[in-house]
Order: sequence, then structure tokens, then C-alpha cells
Amino acid sequence: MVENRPFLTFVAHALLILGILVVALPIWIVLVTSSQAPEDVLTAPIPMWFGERLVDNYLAVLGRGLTRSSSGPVAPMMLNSLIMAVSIAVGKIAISILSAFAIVYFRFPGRMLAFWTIFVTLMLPVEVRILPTFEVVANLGLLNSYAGLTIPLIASATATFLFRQFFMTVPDELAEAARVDGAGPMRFFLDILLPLSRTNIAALFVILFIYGWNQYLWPLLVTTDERYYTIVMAIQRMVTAADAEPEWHFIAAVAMLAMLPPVLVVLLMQRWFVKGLVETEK
Amino acid sequence: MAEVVVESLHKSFGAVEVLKGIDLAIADGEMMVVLGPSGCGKSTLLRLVAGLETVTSGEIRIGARRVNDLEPKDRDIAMVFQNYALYPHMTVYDNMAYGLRNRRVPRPEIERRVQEAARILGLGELLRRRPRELSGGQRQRVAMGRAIVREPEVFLFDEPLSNLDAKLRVQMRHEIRQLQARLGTTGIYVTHDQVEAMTLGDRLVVMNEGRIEQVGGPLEVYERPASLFVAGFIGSPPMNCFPARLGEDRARILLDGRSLPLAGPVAAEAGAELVVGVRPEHLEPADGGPLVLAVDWVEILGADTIAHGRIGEEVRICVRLPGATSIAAGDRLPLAVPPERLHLFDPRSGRRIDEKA
Repeated sequence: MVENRPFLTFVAHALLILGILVVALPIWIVLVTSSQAPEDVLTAPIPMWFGERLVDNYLAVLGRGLTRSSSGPVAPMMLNSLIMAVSIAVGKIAISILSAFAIVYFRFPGRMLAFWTIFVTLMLPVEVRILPTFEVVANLGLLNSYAGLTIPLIASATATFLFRQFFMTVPDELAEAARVDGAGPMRFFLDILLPLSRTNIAALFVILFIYGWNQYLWPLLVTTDERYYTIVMAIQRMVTAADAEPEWHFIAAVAMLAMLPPVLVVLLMQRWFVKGLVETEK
Repeated sequence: MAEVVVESLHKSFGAVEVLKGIDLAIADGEMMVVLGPSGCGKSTLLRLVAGLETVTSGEIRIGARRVNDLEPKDRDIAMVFQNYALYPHMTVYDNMAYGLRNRRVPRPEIERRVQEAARILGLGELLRRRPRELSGGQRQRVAMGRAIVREPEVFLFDEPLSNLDAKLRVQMRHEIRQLQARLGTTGIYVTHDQVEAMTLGDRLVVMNEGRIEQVGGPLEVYERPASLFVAGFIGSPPMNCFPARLGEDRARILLDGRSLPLAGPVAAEAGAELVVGVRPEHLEPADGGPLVLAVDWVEILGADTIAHGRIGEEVRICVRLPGATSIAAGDRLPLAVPPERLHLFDPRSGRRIDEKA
């Protein structure tokens, strides 16, 4: 704030710290839990400091899996999640940027209709169309496959609108200059539009990667084969293990592992965000 | 090198007719400046020649080729845009080389042409920079460079200097003129700035509302404007225009009972209503002059002084006097006009009335 009022500064900081505590405390508890022996987790009070089994627990879930809920090792699940998240992010960006390119730079009949149809799909979350989509995927024989996991989630042009707005800020003269320079539409797209969009692409990649990584309901429906389980849905299966106490120390470790890649993506891509804000190209 | 010919060119955007029949022939190596107020269709004309818009009817030829249906890249033209339209993510070198690469010009040839253009335009140091690291004048030069390396038949300029500050504009104007003359490439230059038009063009086209008002050399357009519109558009401050009547001998005009002699009899009926035009710089203070200006406002510009005021009751005119004078509001200033400096126009058609042949 611009004014220098000690009391306001105090209140602002207090609120911020409170907010951070609300977010950070559960994560802290999970992190601490993942380092305990099983019997320590279930005895009151909840441990607030690390136990001795941090490395053991993580190695166990990554390599062996959970013993009592008969879940397999987590490492392949993380790989599945990674494949799914990256496919969804890349696929969505590819589809969106191309459809935005078509809508902004080409005049064809039903152009605005096409745009609004795409736009309307934004208003339908996966959960609404989940039964028909499941039917289609099942009929196509895509259950228990990476294609079944990713394609139905790619097929909605979430980012079309964003790319459209960005393309409309690109001066028309740039397209005209490219035409005079002998670049056809695809050359213009690849040589000029795509490089100009890279900070937008980076931002969308982060959002869509997290969206894909955190998918829960859809993988739960289309996979019955353990080879295709993703980590987020696997956590749920571990919690509801049949006639046994959930192994909370392992589950906490898995939860931490599930959180890691999105955090990494955000941290790595942050540099691009800043670059995008500082550089005013166009 | 090629001539550009435009024949009965029409262009409509929906129901709006922007160009209403343009006929124009631009000679090989000539710099033709298209001048007009905004919305007169001058940019549309240029974009039609460039191939960025499609022709509604009429014909455009570059050299001997009819180019109506050719893509811009096949017309052998190069265009310099108002906002330069440099590719922001490419270096200066790549900006200039991009068109050549798309044309599959061999790499050593690209290198040679870009280096040559950079040398001509003084961009040698900047080839590795990006457009955003350049000043306005430098960007303008890169845009020029991009046009030069193509070695086109025709240069098209779309108000290329309007984003530069005044001082730089004068300099770039000079550079563009020299460059075009040296390369001997036909040029079409669109502008709304009459100073640019006068100094750059071999010939001018003055356009208004989708039609050509006059085509001619800069001095010709200044000294013999073909219509009231041209008379008012060229010159600053604009030409003074006021109604008058042609005398019985057709060699003098009558104005509020006063009489001004003309250089000779003109091609209009005796007693006809006319519009008389006289440029502010052609009115001279003269004791006992036929026009008496009641000065009510004086602008002192240093190099000259512009006095505004009234002649008789109705007619407002202004006079440009050299140097700083001592004229003040309230003065009465008698003025004379050399007869050959009077322009006569038909009040209905707005066309110039010439001396009798």
C-alpha cells in the first residue's frame, strides 16, 4: 500500500501469514506423516516433527507399493500421470492454437458460429458429459489405454478463446508483411505467430498440465487395468483398502509425490511468466 | 523496373464504394505520390496494387503483366508499412532475409543482398539486434531494407514516415528520395502530408472521395490546381477562396464593387458567378491596392507572419507576409495580387476555369 500506516501494515502482514498457515499447515502435516512409522501416525497427538522413516517410506511406495491395500509401486503411476498431463496440455494447446488461427485469420462461412460453438464447450465440464463420453470411448475400444485417458480431455478447446484474444492484438500489418514476403498461411503461422505466442503457450502449459495431472474422475472410470492407473486416483484406492487400516504414512508419502510435479512445473515455468511480462514484443 | 498502369479501377467494401474509377499510369522509375485526406481511398489504392485487397472491377498492370489475380508475392513488389510491421522476434538480419528465404534465394546471395542493404542504410552495426532495441528511425530503415533486398519492380510506401518525429521525417524523406532515385525503382508513395508529397514526388496524384482530382508535377499542382479541392488541400495556410463575378470583358473580376484585372480573358460567360482563389503568400501589401484587409488576428511565426482578417463584410482571408512585421489587429492593410496569381473555379463543378485558348 502507498500510505505508511504501521497498523495497516501489521494487519496486512497478519492476514497474509494467516493465509499461508491455512494453506501450509495441512501440507506440513502430510509431509511429517510421511516420515513416520505406521504406529506413530495413529497415536495421539499427531506428530508435528519428522520421524525416522522419511527415506524408507518414499523408497517403499515408489518401488514396492503398499502392502496391505495391494497397490503396486507408485513410480509407474507417476509416469502414467505424467504422460496424461503432458498429452493433455500439449494436445489442447495444439488444437486451440490452430482453431484460433483459423478463426482469426481466415474468412469462411460460419466462422463466428464455429467460434461460439467452441466457446460453449468451455461451459461444459468433463463431469457433465462424462456418461456419453464414456460410451463413445468404450465403443471405440479405448478403455485402458493412454488414448482413452487423454483424447476425450483434449477434445475441448479451452485455450482457443485465449489464443484468439492474443491473435487479435497482433497487428494486421504483420500478416500482410508476411504475405508480401511470400509466406503462405502455414509459414506465417509457424514463423511468426507461433514464436510470438510462446509466452502465452508457456502460461497455458502450466495451467493445463496441472489440470491434466489432477484429473481424478475420468481416469477412475476408464481404467481398470493397474498398468494405466494415475497417481491421483490411486491415492483414493489406497484410502479405501478393503478390511484393513489405511497405511497413512505411505498414503501421505504418495500425496507428497503427487504434489511434486505440478509444483516443479510452476517453479520452472515461472521464469517464462516473468519474461513474458517484461518483454513487450509485438 | 516496370511501369504501373491502373485502369478504371473500382473497389467496394460491401455497399461502400471506396474507389470510383481510378485511371493512372506511372512511368518506369517514377516516384508517384498519392496525396489526399484520410478516407479518400489512397491507402486502398496502394493495397490493391500490392494485392492485399481484391479488385472489384478494373485492371492493374505491373510491367506488361495483368496482376489482378496474383498473390502479393507474385507481383514483384515490396511494401513499407506505416507501423513498419517488422517481425518482433527476429533480428534485423532475419527481418530482411525472411522474404528472400521464402523465395528460396541461395544463402550466399541472401547474405550479399542483406549486407549491401545494411551498408546503404547504415544498419551494419544493428544486424544482430531485435526491432524493439531500435529507435523509430532505425526501424524505419530496417523496413526500407526489407524492401530493398527484394530488388522488386515497384516500391509501395504506405505513409512510412508518419510515426517519426518532425526532424527525423525530413531526414528520412531525403533518404527515401535518394534511394529510390539511385535504384531507379518505380515507387508509389501514399501520404496525407503535403510537404512530403511536394518534396518526394516526381508527380502527385491528389485524391478525394475515391476519385482522382489532379495528376501532375508538384509545382503544377501548386500553381495550377485543377479544382477547388486541390486548391484548398495543397498549400499551408490553404488558398483563400471567395465568390466573385466575371466582368463584361471576361478579363476582370468584380468583387464588392471593386475590380481585379486578370491576366487575360477566360473561358466562361461574362457576368458568370465564380470562385476566386488566391494563395496567402501571393497577396502583397500595396498602397492603394484594390483589396483592403481589416486585420483582426496576427500569427507571428518568425520566418513569416500570417495576418487574418476580412475583406468587405463577408469574406475572410489570410495573408502571408515575409519576416516579422509590425501589423497588428485593427490595422487596415491594402493588398494587391499579380493577375497571374488569381485562380478561377466554377462554383458548381469546382473545376478550374482556364484562360481562353
